[in-house]
Amino acid sequence: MKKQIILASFILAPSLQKASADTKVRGSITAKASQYSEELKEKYGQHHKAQLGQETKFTPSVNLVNQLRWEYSTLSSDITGVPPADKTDKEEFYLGENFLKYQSDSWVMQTGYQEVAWGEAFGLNYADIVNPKNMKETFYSRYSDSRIPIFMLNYKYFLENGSFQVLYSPEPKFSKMLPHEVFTKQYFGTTKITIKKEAEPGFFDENDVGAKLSQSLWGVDGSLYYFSYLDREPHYTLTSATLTSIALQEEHNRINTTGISLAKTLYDDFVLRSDLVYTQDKFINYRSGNSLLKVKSNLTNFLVSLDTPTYNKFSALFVFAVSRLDKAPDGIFREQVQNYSIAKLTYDIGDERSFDLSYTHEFNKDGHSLQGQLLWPINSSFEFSVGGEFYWGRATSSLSTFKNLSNVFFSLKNYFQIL
Amino acid sequence: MKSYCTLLLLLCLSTPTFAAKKAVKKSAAPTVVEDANEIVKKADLKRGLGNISHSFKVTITNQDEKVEVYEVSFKDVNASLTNQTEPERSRGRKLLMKDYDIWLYTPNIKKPVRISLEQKLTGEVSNGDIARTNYAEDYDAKLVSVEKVGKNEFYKLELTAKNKKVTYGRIEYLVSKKDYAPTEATFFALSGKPLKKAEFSDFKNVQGVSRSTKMVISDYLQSSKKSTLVFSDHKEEKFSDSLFNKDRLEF
Repeated sequence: MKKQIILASFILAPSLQKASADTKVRGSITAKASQYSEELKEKYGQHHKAQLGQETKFTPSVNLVNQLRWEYSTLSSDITGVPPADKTDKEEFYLGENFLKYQSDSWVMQTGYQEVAWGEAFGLNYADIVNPKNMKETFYSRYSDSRIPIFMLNYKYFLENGSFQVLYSPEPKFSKMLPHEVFTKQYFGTTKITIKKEAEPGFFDENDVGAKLSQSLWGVDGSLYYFSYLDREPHYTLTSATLTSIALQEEHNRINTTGISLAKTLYDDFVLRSDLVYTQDKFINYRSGNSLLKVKSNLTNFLVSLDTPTYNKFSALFVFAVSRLDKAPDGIFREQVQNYSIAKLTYDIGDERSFDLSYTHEFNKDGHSLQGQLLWPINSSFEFSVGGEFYWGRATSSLSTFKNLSNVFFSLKNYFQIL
Repeated sequence: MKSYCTLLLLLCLSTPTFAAKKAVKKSAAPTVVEDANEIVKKADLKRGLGNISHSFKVTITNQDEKVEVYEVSFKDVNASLTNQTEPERSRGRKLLMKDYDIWLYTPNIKKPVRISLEQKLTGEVSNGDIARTNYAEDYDAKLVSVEKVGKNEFYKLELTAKNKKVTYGRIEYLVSKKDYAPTEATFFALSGKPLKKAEFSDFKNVQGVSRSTKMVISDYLQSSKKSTLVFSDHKEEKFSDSLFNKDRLEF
């Protein structure tokens, strides 16, 4: 029903505002082809996307934004070997951001499906907690592509050098996870695993609430935030098991996250960014003998990064990140402490063309990843990119978990405006 | 033969420049040696509306003929907002400058990101070339000499950055003695390394004053690498303070 109302607004908005208001219809189409480079060498991945968006300005204060999105991805069948007839994630047509915005000089209110991005740092988006994510979007996806819009009342009041924001969502959603085989193979080998998904809550069944206070003082951007929400990532309860198969029930519990983010320009041309994010009561699964159990743990994520200025067309980004659970029984499905460092080097070829190379090192379990991309805008509306992403390391490292997602890719994106 | 052709080509190219200088209208020439900072202030008013609240459009054409269009809301020298409208794939990028802080918003990231002033906007153009153009506010000026080119006299000024936060460490600036019209500038990094050159031209009546509406910026060492900025649609306009709040960029 909600989808129908939004679709109707997409179609009717231009006629409602007649000729006097301003309507723009624009969109993009992305085609991405890849070839996997590890055990799935013979597999060719495809990930195509399209978005059609409309923005209608009724008055200088009132705007309506509608977006329709389409996605075609072969990732699930590529990774799991599911026959084409049983593919579940082959093609999807869904609503993107769809909201009504009212703004005055001192405040803004947006109501509807939208994205909200918190935090200052890049590399590992620990503070980007509000929207669920599409985990199929890998390293080179645009940040916005990986966020799944959720229905929110988003109110922001502007202070002299900052703002105070309140969020309320009566309809939490869950992240779209990678096929479970990516993670479970190392723990359960060839055992057949069946997962029963948890249904997403209906309108007003669950309520996510949060707030953020942001201030820029003495050249420092600071923000303090809190969000109480249904965990976007699942944990599992064992419902039945045989010698060759196990059945799991997916669950999401309520968690509370508090965070602080800072950004500061140093020595005029360097930019230091940091996020410290603390999450209470997150369930993590662990294996004890033949049982699958879960433990409630508190998670602390910390990240600090430094952007360098451009020198001889080269610029760099350095990141150090720590993710720590306060409880971690033997057999837990992640390390108690995960330490990462990232170094990214960008070469400005000129005319908006660039080449970047990024290396991530996971300290505790000796995991590695390397990503490279050549970005080449062809003209005002077409953008071409070619690159690769590779994951390797000790079998128990979190980065080597993604080994079979290593690939080289080719992508073409077209931006267009219809009206 | 080759060098003769080159010389001929250079002569052809330089003719319009001298013709343009000859075409500058007469105005009261300064009779006494002026304060260098006052000259720079007057020259600033020949490149924009100065420190009053206004909006304008900048069309940038790079050497490969790619065109980018920006709409600028300028509150005062310490607050400006630049909104990119073309090309289609870059639409919605915003650049906010407050004092010496600068933030970039892109629809992809959906949050304001603190960046540095030296970061390139496009081609040969730095963020500061659009967002912070009043040299009198950021540089101390010294009059080096008065140079005569043909019948016209020019102030040769040396501008030194008041602090390390500005876009350039030093600027060599040539300003017409007759009407304070800026003619050309050479920009240097804080290290002293020459970075790029700019030529100011196409003086038109904007809000009752003859002002330059075209700036050609070229790389100091590779002059073929250039970006042409055309300024238009200058309008006096009042803006709410919250327009220049970084937390408003996402709306």
